[in-house]
Amino acid sequence: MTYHFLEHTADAGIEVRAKTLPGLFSEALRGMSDVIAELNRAQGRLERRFELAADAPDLLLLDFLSDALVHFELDQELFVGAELEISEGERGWTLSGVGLGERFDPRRHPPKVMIKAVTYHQLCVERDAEGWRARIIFDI
Amino acid sequence: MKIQKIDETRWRIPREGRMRVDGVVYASEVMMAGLRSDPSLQQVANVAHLPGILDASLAMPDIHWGYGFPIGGVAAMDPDDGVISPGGVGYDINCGVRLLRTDLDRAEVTPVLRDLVTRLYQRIPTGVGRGQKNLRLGQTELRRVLRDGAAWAVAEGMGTARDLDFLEERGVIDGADPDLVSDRAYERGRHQLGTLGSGNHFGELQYVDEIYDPVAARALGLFENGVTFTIHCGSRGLGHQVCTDFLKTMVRAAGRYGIDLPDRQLCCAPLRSPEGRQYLAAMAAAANFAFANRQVITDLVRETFCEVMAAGPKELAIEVVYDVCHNIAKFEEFEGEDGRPRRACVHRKGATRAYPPGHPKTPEPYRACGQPVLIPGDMGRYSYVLVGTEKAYRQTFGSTCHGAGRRLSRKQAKREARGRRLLDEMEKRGVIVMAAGMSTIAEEMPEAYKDVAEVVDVVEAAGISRKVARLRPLGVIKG
Repeated sequence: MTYHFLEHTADAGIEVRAKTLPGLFSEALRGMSDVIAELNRAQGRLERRFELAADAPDLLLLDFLSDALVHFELDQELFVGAELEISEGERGWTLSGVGLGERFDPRRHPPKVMIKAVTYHQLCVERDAEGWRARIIFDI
Repeated sequence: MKIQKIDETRWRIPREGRMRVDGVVYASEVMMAGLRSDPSLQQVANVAHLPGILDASLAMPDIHWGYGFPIGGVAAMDPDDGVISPGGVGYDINCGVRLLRTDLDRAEVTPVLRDLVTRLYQRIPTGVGRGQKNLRLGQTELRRVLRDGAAWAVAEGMGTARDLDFLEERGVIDGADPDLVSDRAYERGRHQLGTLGSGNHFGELQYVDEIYDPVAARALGLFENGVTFTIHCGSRGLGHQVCTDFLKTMVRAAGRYGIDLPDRQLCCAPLRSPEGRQYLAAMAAAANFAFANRQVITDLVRETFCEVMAAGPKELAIEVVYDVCHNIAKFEEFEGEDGRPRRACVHRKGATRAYPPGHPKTPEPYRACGQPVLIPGDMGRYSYVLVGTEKAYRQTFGSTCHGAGRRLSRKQAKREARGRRLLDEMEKRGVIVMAAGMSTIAEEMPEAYKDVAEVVDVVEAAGISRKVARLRPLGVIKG
């Protein structure tokens, strides 16, 4: 599982790779936190439950990251990963599980830049021979 | 992509495929050379696909790659056949700029400069996760903010009735419906009124270093070496949530109304549809939050100045010069080529309204010179005060540029800043910078931005704005 930052003139983005779809979501979550603050060995001490449904995996990822962003803003929860189950059913794609992280502390996690939102621009979640990849652009 | 030169400052992206109108980009020859390989021009063409777009998909010379719309984009929509696109406003609804002037001369603040910047930094929350401890609002109060905008803050004693006369739309967008704002957006807004946020938002202490139009400068209360303060921020988490909520609605609505789009971020609904009307009413509510936010910050700035200068607000004459929105969509009236009135819903995504002299919406003391346009540059160089023109009114739906535009990505900027002592470099330039994180300082360093003077020169040469004064920074507070 990996993520790397993308070059974008005004905003920021990440490209993520993972073997599984839950792994991809977990890594994307960690990548988003890494845009916001230095993670500095942050641990998964805290759990936040997520239950979501969407029409497609990319829309599910957008909703998941948008929700996590709100928990960062309102509850100061900085996530480093997630344990999730994702499945496709009759009513579209569903996600269930927990985000793992710790309470944001600016002394331990020096802030980088706040993300305003997760955008639809160039958003993609794709499957290929090696597993899954995603691309996400954030509004800064 | 095909690009045709129209004149010295305008370039056409000719209509092709499913584009409904041409794209027109305001830029110098040099700027266009740099833009040719930039994704932003494709974004100008993408916006030209939107149903009901009038005249052309416009872009100002500070154009750069955004998400969906380019930053610096202007799209005016026909009120009957046109669409409204939340992506054409952006997540930071009514992100904007407010300029305050004072009677103080630069020499008077020099001895207390560090104290002044420090106290401004302490009083105005900035940066990741910083809320307002002294102003947490309940649901009822927050609903009033969303309905009344800046007037709410004035009624609460934060500012004067005169302030409201000098704000775009007098600090309140009509038609706001607080019921259409989600609980989550309320929750995010509750502790953020009176905060700057992070990214490119800032508060900046400045002085007037050059005057280009003495008559207009006098009307605006600006004089050489006079101290000013600029506030750049928007609707914070509340606005971001309104946009996020409505994009979800609009992705579905676009499908339902059979609107075929080249980028999902452009998702939209007809202005006359329930989804379109609801978004406009929720957007207006978020825009009003932003007006109130800048009003509350104005009050904090006034308090701080009075404290440090040991003088009263009347004595210092800290007045609002003007307040502009640069991420907004609203219905405005224009004059068609046949001289008949023409109404349009204008999206300005990183663009500023620039109404001409004589316009009834321009505050009476400025009516002879035109509506003030506030163009911040980077934190090391300068910012500009311009005024709108008749040509902008006819050619760009009364719009002009909004800033410098980035030159380096945030990643590149950090790479270039490595090993440098940016705060010391800024002090050598005569600017005290205080920020919550070093990362922001690196990302926002002067070299990360284009020279705003080039942008302003293009809009002046194109005749869509006129230069009045230039401001130089003395102190900057950032997230």
